[in-house]
Amino acid sequence: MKGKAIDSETIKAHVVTAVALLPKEKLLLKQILEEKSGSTIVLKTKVDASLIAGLYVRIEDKVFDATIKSRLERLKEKLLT
Amino acid sequence: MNINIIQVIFQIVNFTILLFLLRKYLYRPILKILESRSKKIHDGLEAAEKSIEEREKLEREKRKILLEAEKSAAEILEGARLRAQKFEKTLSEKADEEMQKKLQRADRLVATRQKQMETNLQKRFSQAVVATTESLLKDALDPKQQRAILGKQIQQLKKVSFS
Repeated sequence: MKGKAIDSETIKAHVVTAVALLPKEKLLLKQILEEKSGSTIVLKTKVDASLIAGLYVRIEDKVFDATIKSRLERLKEKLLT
Repeated sequence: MNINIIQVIFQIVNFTILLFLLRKYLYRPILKILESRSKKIHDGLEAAEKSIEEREKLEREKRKILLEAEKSAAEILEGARLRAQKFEKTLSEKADEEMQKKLQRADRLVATRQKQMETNLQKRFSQAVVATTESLLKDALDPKQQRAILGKQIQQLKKVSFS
């Protein structure tokens, strides 16, 4: 299952960015996520230019979405209300 | 002067006989006829009086009937007038009510359409703002800036709790 643990100590993290992550960025991101989760993280990266800029991370059912696209979506919702 | 008694007696007898005959054959029939005529006249007068009374009674009844008929006619006319007024009032009220309902419907329709237009306008405006911002950002951000934002967000991730 997507984002589910591979085994008891390994967790898959789905990462989407507008530009490809550099190896050092991948390493840093992996370290941060492992510190946060206390488990071994396997990064599944993807590039999506429609995000414009920013970072999207999903680990199991937890999501960190700081992309420009999602911010624009939130802005649109605010303008509509 | 000599009085002849026999002649006097004879005259008395004659007069008595004449009186008897007159009474029997003339006076009584005449009296009977007179009584009969008197009775007829009396009956006639009574009948006439009765007839007059009857006529007066009929006149009174006729006047009474006419008065009652006039009263009934007036009541019927008044009733018809009141019914007509009531009907006219009801029609007028219904027309007013219908007009009010139509106006309220029209107001609601205008308000709904105005709201829809405002919503559509707001939606289009929001879409235009976001599309324009998105387009501007796409053009404005070069890969270097994108990477800078990415680096900053990776650092921000440290502050986010995933536990």
